[in-house]
Amino acid sequence: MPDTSSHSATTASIATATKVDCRNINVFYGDKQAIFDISMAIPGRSVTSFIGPSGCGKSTFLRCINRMNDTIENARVEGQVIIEGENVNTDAVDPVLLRSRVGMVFQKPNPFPKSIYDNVAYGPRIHGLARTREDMDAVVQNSLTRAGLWEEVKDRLGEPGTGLSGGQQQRLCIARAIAVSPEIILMDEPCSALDPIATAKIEELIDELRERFCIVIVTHSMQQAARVSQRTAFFHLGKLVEFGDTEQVFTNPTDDRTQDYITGRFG
Amino acid sequence: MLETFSQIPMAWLAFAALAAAGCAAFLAGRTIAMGIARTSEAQLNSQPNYHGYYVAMWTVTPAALLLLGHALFGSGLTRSLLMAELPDGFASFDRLQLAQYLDRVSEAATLDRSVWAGEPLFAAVTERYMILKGGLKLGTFLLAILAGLAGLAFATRRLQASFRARHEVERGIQLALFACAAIAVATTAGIVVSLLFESIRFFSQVPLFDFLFGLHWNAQTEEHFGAIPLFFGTFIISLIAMCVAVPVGLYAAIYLSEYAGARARAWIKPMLEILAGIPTVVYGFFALLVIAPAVRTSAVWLNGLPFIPDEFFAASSTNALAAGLVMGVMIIPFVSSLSDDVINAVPQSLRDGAFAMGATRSETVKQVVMPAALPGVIASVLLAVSRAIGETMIVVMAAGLRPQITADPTAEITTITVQIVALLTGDSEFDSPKTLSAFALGFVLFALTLVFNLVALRVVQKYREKYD
Repeated sequence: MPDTSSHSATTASIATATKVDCRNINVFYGDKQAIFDISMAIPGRSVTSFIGPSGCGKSTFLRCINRMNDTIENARVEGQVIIEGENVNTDAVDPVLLRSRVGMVFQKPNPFPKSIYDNVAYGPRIHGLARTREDMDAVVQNSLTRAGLWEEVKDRLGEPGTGLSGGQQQRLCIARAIAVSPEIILMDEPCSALDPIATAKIEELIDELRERFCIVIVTHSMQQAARVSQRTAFFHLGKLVEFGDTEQVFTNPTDDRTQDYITGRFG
Repeated sequence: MLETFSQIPMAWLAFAALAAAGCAAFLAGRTIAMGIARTSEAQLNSQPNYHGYYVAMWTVTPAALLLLGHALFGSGLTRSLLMAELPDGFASFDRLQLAQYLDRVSEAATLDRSVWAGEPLFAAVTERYMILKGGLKLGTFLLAILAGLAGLAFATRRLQASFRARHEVERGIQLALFACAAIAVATTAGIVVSLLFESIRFFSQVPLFDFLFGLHWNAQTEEHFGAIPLFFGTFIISLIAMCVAVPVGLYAAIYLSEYAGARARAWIKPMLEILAGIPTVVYGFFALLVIAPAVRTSAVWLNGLPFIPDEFFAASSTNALAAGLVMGVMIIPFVSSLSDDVINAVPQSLRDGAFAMGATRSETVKQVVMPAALPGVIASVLLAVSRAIGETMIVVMAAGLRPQITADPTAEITTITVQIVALLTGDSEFDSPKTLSAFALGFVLFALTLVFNLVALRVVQKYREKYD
């Protein structure tokens, strides 16, 4: 039942070219199934948000896209995750390389215990993206600028990243993610540990970033989903209930459960 | 009568009596409280059981303290009483002779009379000793009973409806717990003070400078007390041990916390802990019987090689390398389990961050996890060093006794701990410089390990602030 509804929703409203095409994803943690046969076509150069009550599987589904579930013992992901025509959910694809194409920003800002500069330079270094010191400086400046942090930190690039404020740390993590020029950026509740002002800055940033990247964001705030995303997917109990244009999902949901959730009747 | 009383073992008797008195006092207190509850209009502040505990506490504690005091100081007191009464003939005895004489007396006092029948003077002294001992014992016992009764009377008189027995019992428990903690602290303080005291006596005979910076150690002849060779030996063996323990222990910890699956972890961790539980004497004879001969054989073989001068390696049958290697193996679990804890304390979010950037596991460990865990790892290494410095059994068995300064790891070498053992085993006078030097060495050892432990604690504390 949810399968058919999700399919009709996806096919009905594709505006931009599909970037990530997930087909029949099932995720198991040991014997427990967390995701039930979800298919979803995520468009490029736009923001897609995942909403739903806690434990509904939206983060788990997000982590399928860069195969972060591989790092969890006894987690098993079935199905196809097709990025630009290539299924990445197979042993033939190196998750380490995949993750240089699919960046991720986490719920709690997690800068490495290194300087601001080294935090941003981390990805380019391990992937060998910058040949000279000047190249690296340019990458770092460029990434920090795009993350809207350059003006605030340009005079203290040598200071530890952990010394920044929470909102700055999160923007540093975004700068770190975009420094390797990924195609897709996954954000797992990136604002849930931030105050409203820092949240507003991040949202503004997300809006700018969507011109260059495909962004997928998990959020608990429905206002945030409505503000920043063009597409919204509603998850419930490991199933995709509804997926469509944000405006349509929030104003005229096709499923009763979506209606109940966004009006605050459960969740 | 007092003589026979002196031979009765009192500890068990006293224990039984105290337990019985405690039970009786508890019942008495509870009954009184229940009586109050029945007759008085006001409600009891605390439950009857608490009144019982309170009365039992006051009955048992004073008596127990008296009996404990007797157990600790009774024989010393008896001996000094006896010494004061000894006839003039004993004036010629020096301290050691007198002590030995009194030891014989107290031993004879526990035996049958026929043992000392032959010596009238000895018999008389022993009889007197038994009377004194028995009298002291009986006196303590009676006093304890009186104290118990006094406590009982005091406590039962305080019982009334509004009495906060529960509160008082809580205070009693707090005091008892404090006493236990105080014993540990007092013991440490006592050891330090006695070490310091004896060390000062040693340094009044041997200059501090000669001890700390002298290059020649020969305590047996009581001429040379230069401890540098011992410090050097301790340093070399600890260094060898750390060269084994730090890399192996640290990599084991990294494997366990970053790579191993739940099943491998469940196997390997307990195995490592078993390694920590092996008695050091077992390591010691392993070092002596297996490793040391192997080192010697290899050294002899190396000496035979054409490009190495003959006798280049000392190839001693006990040697620094064997002791150091085995000690290193012994210390592996210390390093690994402490480092494992520290590495596990690094937040998972940092690892996720590195993985999400496309880092491999080893890159993540090297560039993100280890820098974050470094202070804790350093602390664990420092603790392991202090453990290596203080380790005794392995070096006693496998390192040898010859104090010398040499970079040759196959040579016989000696450490602070080995010398302490060597100095204090066998007959020796208690206040000769030879024996006292053991205290000075002990003090140095204590100071060294204390410094390492303090620094390690400091580092760990700083590290904790960072993540909590």
